Amino acid sequence: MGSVLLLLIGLAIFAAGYLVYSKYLGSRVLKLDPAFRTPAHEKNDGVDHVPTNKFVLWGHHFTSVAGAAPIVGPAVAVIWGWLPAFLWVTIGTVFFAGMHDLGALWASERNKGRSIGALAARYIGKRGSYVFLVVIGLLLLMVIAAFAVVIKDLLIANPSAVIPSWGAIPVAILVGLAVYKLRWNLTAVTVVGVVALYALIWLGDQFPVVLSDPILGMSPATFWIVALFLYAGIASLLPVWLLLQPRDYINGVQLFIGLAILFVGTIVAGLFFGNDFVAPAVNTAVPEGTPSIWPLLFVTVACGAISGFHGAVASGTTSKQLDKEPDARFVGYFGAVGEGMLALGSIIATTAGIQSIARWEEIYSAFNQGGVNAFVEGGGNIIEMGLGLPQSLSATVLATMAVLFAATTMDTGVRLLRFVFQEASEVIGFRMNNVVGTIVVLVVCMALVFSQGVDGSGGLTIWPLFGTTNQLLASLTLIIVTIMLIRKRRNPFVAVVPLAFVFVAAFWAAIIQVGTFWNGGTDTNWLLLVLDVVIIVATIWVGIEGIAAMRRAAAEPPEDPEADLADHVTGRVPMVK
Amino acid sequence: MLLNAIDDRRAVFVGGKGGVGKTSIGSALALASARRGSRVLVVSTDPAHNLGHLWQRAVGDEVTTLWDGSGRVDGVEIDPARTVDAHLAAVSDTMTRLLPEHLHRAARDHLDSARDAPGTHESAVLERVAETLETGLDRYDLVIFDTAPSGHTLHLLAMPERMTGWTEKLLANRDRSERFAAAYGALGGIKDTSDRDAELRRMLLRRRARFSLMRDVLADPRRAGFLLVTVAEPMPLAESREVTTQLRNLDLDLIGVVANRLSPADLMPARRRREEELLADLELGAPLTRIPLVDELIGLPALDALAGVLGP
Amino acid sequence: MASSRWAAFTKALNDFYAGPYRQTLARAQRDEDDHFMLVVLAESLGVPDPAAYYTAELLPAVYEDFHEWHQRAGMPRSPLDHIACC
Repeated sequence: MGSVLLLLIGLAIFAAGYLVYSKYLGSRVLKLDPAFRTPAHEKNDGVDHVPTNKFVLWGHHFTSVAGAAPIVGPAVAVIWGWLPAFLWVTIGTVFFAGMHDLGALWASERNKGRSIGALAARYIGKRGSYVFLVVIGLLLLMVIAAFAVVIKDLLIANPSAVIPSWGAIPVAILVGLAVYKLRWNLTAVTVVGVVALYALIWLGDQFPVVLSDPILGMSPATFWIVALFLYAGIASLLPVWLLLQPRDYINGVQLFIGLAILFVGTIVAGLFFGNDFVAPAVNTAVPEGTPSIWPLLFVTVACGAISGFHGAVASGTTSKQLDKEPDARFVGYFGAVGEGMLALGSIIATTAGIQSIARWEEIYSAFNQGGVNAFVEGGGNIIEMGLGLPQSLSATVLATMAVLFAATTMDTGVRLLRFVFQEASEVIGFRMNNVVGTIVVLVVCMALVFSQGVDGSGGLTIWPLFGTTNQLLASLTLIIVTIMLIRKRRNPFVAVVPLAFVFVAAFWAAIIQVGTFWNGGTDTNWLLLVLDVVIIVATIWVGIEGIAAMRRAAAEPPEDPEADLADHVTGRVPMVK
Repeated sequence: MLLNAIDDRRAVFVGGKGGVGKTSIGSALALASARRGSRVLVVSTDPAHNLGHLWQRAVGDEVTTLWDGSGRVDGVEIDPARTVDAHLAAVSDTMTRLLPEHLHRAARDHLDSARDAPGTHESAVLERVAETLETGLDRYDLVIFDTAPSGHTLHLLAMPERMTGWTEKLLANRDRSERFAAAYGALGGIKDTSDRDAELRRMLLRRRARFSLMRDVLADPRRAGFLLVTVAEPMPLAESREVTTQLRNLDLDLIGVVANRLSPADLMPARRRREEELLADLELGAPLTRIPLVDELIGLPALDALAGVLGP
Repeated sequence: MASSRWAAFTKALNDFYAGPYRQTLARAQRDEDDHFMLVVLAESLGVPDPAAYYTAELLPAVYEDFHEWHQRAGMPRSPLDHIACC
C-alpha cells in the first residue's frame, strides 16, 4: 500500500509542478507568446523546420531522451533508501529538470532554433562553444561505454532476454523495409512489429540463452561487449531508414507500453495485494565503501532529475519543430515529467518489488551493484503480483525493454559521436570518412569499457562520471538561460538556483571521484582519472566564463523587447547538430 | 535467296566501307521487295547522301515516295543538324514558357552550349534512326538503313545499349530521390516537387523506352539484321572481317555478305580470278552473294536490273 | 467524426515515425537531386557530356532548383554566365 501511496504522491507532485510551476514559468518568466513566429514557421523548409503537432513532438522529445538512464540511475541510488531518491526525483523534476528542459527549448527557439553550442558561442563567447563540443563529446563517449556495460549485465543476468534483444534487430529491419520499400500501412506494420517483439519475449522466456565460458576465447562478458560494439558500429553505418529509424520507432511504442504495464502493475499490486516497501526509507546501514549521499546522489540520478543531454536534444531538433511557443510547456516541461515518472517507477520497482529485505540487502551489497538487475527482478515481481504475468515473463519484458532503450542510445550515440569526431577532424584539417570515423569511435569507447577490467567487470564505475558530465552540460545550458533572463530583466533565480546546486554538486562529485579513480596509487584507473581531470578543468572553465558572462549581462543595458525578432549572427561556429 | 532473307526481317542495316555500293544494293533490295508488294522505307544515315542521286529525285529530311506500284518505296535522308535545331528549339520553347522575359535570351544561349557539345551530332542521328525505326515497324513492312561507313555505324549501333544504361542510372537516381521524399513525409513542407518529379520520370521513361526498343529490335534476329557490302579487294575484305567480329559483339545478326562490283570474267579474267581467290578465303559465317559490276548505275531502270540480279 | 480522428491518429503516427530522421532523409534526397542537377548541367559547366542532346531536354524541369543548388554547392553567385538567377 505504501508503494502506491508514494506513486500517487509522486504523480501529484508532478501534476502540481506542471500545472502550477510551469504555468508560472511560462507566463511570468519566459513569457511564452502564442503570436511569436517560431523557427518552424519562420523557415518552414519541410525538412528540419516543420511545425509539428505538440503531442507528436512531445513523443519524439520524450522517446529521444528517455532511455535506460532514468531506470539505471534510481536503481543504483536507492542504496541510500527510497526517500532520498524519491525527493530528488520529484523535487528535481519539478524545479530543476522541468525548468532546464523548458528553458533550453525556449532559449533555442527564441534564437532561430540554434543549438546549445551556437547559443554558447553567442552568450558566453566563442570558447564557450568549444567547451560545449568537448563536453558533449565526452558525454557521448561515456554514455556509449556505460550503456554497453549495462546491456552486458542485463544479458548475463537475464538469459531469457537474449533472444528478444537480438531478435529486435531483424524485426526492426523488416519494419523498415515494409514502410520504406513496400510502403505498407504504418499502423498495421506497427501492430505486427510489436506483436512480433512480444512473441520473441515469450520465446526468449522459453529458451534462455546462457553462453558457455569461454566462448570464442573470450569470457561471456567480453563476448557480449564486443558483439554490442560491432552491432552499434554496423547499425550506425546502415541507411537510417533500414535500422535506426524503425528501431527508434518500435522503441518509442515499447516505452509507452512498458510504462503502462509497470504503473498499472504497481497500482494493482499495491492496492489489492498489499505490495509494500522492503527497503528502508533512509538506509542507515549502507554497505561499506558507499559514498555519502551528498554529492553522489545528485550525479547518480541525472536523467529523471535534471539532465544536460535533454537540452542538447531540445535545442538540436525539437526547437525547430515547435508550432506555437506555448507548446514548449507541454513538450519541454512535460517531457521532463515523463522521465521523472519512469524514474519513479524504477524507484518503486527496486524498493517495493524485491521479495524481502534480506534479498534486497544481498542485491545492494555494494555501491554500483544492484542497479538495473534490481529493476528487472523487482519490477518483474510487481507485475506478476499486479497483472498476473508470471515473474520470469515479466522480468523478461522489463529486461528486454531496458536492453533496447540502452541499445538504441548506443547506436545513435555512436552515430552522433562520429559526427563530433568528423567535425573536430575537419577543424584540425583532415577529412575522416564514415567508416574510419566509426572505427575510431568504437575503439575509443571499447578502450573505456575494458579499462575497467578485461571483461568490463568494474561494474558501472563510470556511471557517476557520466552523471557528472551530464550535469555539467546542464549547467552550461542553465547559464545560457540565466543570461537570457538577465538580459531581458526577468526573474533569473528560477534558473540560478538549479544552476548553482547542480554545478556545485557536479564539481564536488568530480573532485571526489579523483580519489576513487586514483585509488591510493594502486590499481589506478588511468583512463577514467584523465577523463575526470578533463571534466574538472572544463567545469572550472565553464564556471569562470559563465560567471563573467552573467555579470556582463547584468551590467549591460537590458535587451530590447523586440530583440529576438532581429537578426543576430555572430559568425560561424562549429556545432553539433 | 538474299531477297528472301531480307524480306524475312523488319529492319536491315546495309553497311560497309565507303564507296562499295551500299546505297545501290540497299535501294535495289528495297525495289525488289516493293515489287513483291511490300511497303519499304529507305533511310539514309550516310552524311554523303546518295539516295536522291540514285533515284533521281529530291529527297530530304522528310519522307518522300521513291516508287509506287504493287508495293511502295519511301526514302528519307537524315539531316542531323536540322534534327538538333528542332530538338533544341523545342526545349527552348519549354524554357521560355517557364522563365521570366529577361531570361529568355540567356536560356537560348545556354542551349547553344548543348548544340556544340561532342556527341550531339551522333545523338541526333541515333534519335532519327530510332524514330524511323519505330515508324518503320509501325507503318512499313521493311526498313532499310543505308548507313555511313562502317566505323560510325558500328558506334551508332552500340549506342542504344549504352543509352539504355544511362537512362536507367538516372531513373535509379530519381527513384531514390522520390523514395526519400516519401519517407520523410515531404507533404509536410512547402515545396511540393511531385509535379516536377513526375515530369522528369515521364521524360526519362520515354527515352528509355525508345532506346531499349531499338536495342531489343537490333538484337532480335527475326526482326533485324545487318547486310555487309564489300568489294573483292584485300583492304575492304580485311575490314569486313573486323566488322563481322564487331557485329557479333553487338549481338546484331549478319544476314549476308554482298561482294559487289565483281569484274566481268570475260573482259578481265585475271582480275576476276584474283577476286575469286580472295572470296574463297572469306569465311564470315553468312551467305555470300556475288554482284557483277553494273555500268551507269543510276535511275530506276538500273535499279531494276540490279534488283533482278539480287532477286529470288 | 470517427474517421477523421482515425486519420489524424494515423497522420500523427506517421509523423512520429518520420520525424527524428527527417533531416537525414531530406539530406539524402538533396544529395541525389544535386547529383542529377550536375549531370544535367555538365556541358554548360565545362564538363564534356556526350549525352548533352538528351540532358538538354531535362533542363526545363530542374531549372527552378538551380538557384538553391548553386548556393548549396558553395557558389554564392550563379556559375553560368547566361543564367542570371541572382
